[in-house]
Amino acid sequence: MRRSRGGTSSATLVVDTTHILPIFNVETAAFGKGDLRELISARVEKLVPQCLLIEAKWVMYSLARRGVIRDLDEAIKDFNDGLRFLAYRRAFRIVDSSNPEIDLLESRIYRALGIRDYFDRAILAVAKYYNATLLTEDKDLLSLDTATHEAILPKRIVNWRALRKLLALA
Amino acid sequence: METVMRGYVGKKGEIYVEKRARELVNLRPGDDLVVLVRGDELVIRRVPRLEDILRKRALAVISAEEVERISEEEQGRYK
Repeated sequence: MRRSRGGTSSATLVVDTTHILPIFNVETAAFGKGDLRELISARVEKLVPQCLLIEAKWVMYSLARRGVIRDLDEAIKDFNDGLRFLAYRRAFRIVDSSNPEIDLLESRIYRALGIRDYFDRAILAVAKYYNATLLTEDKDLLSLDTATHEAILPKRIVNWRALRKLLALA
Repeated sequence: METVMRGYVGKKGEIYVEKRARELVNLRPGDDLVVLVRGDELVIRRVPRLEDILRKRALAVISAEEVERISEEEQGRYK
């Protein structure tokens, strides 16, 4: 990732649902709250496609339905606190994930690559639109050939482990 | 439960709230607030700090693959 001499970076990062879940008090083995602190401290602009907020809430409800989350009221409060943090603090920027240009990219990704998951296509399109690196833990997305499909895919797709090395956090 | 406490509006329009009320909702100098106007009422909410988020014990710890699986299941409901 390109870093300027002043230690700041002009790089932009689009994050995936896994990387915002700790804000809503759900962690994954790949990305927990300690990782969230590191990500926030990284000097890159961090974008959250708006549609991921829906996906994150789906995850929360699903975990509650399956009994993994036992107290739904607590989960709803934690989600709202997290959303307030995301919306009003400046650690991340929530960006539209369905403006006409992004929508067009999303459709082209669907036609060219047949990716069935709408959210996957949307975050790819958002990352391409903002000329950003996509941060994801999704193995299918990580294995995409970005060079062959450079017209519709972001230049770089990395997971948290690789990004930490790029940012010299590891 | 509602707790009634006093506050007042200063000469320049600043709103002062009783110390105990601030303590009850953990308001500290420099906090960001969201103010909602509901009819003739003001609702003041504190914007959580990163520390507030990090301090909480996680509701669940799952795998990244599980996140994908849940999303695909949910999307399947609308196909």
